[in-house]
Amino acid sequence: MSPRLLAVITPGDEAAALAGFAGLMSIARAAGAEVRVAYVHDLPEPRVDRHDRIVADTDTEMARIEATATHTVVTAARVFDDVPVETVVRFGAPRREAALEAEVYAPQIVVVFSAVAGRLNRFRAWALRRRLARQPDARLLLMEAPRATATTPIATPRTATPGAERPSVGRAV
Amino acid sequence: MVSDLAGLVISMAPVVGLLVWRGHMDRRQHIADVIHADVHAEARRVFRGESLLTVKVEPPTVWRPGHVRLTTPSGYEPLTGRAFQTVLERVPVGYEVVIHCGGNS
Repeated sequence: MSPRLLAVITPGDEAAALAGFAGLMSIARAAGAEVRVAYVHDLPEPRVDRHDRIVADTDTEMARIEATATHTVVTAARVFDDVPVETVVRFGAPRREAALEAEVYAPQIVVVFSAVAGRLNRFRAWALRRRLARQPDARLLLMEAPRATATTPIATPRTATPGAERPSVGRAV
Repeated sequence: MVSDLAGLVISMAPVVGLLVWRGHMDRRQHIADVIHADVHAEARRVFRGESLLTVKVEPPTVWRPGHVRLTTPSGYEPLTGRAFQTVLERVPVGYEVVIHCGGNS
């Protein structure tokens, strides 16, 4: 049975994950592992227009984020067709959902992405690592992206702010 | 007599404390250097010589575990994959493997 590798992507670490995808695939290829990419995201709020009318409810937003994330991962993994990659998108508290996914998948290697820039990013990565380190029989691996690639999200967050002229459109990276 | 001793202890305590702390830091750095030598030797054995893979080991601190950092130039990420399994076996408990990815690393 081939080893399992779980790559956890949290909001804010998308660009780091894309920057480190080649490294992740090379590790999985060398280990002969199958990869599950888990993108955890907060439960999205409905998007509203400037008159506070709902233009996309939570389910629609979840479907959009899931489709965007899956498409992005599939596109990035297309080059590495010899490594089996599957994508899972979970909604809820990122740390809790990541721990649940690790518990369900029972991987041998857990990969966490982290952008170098910002104390908040470091703290979030640290908290996530502490949570995932409780997983038995799993080695934790941290992939850090350089400062220049630490900004672009996979799915643009909602723009339900009162002053917004119109909702922005999600954009795949 | 007692007050003199107490004064001596109080005045010497910062110096002794600093020396103890520095000795502790040196021991941790020494352990990190040993791990670095071990991991680097294994990486050299895997690649049969020097490679573009850089190994850097940082000792643990109070609030974070030690780091074994693997860095490659952009486009040479497969080097990390080739050495990863061997490096992972050599990394002791209390240390994390950190991979720098992408350019400018």
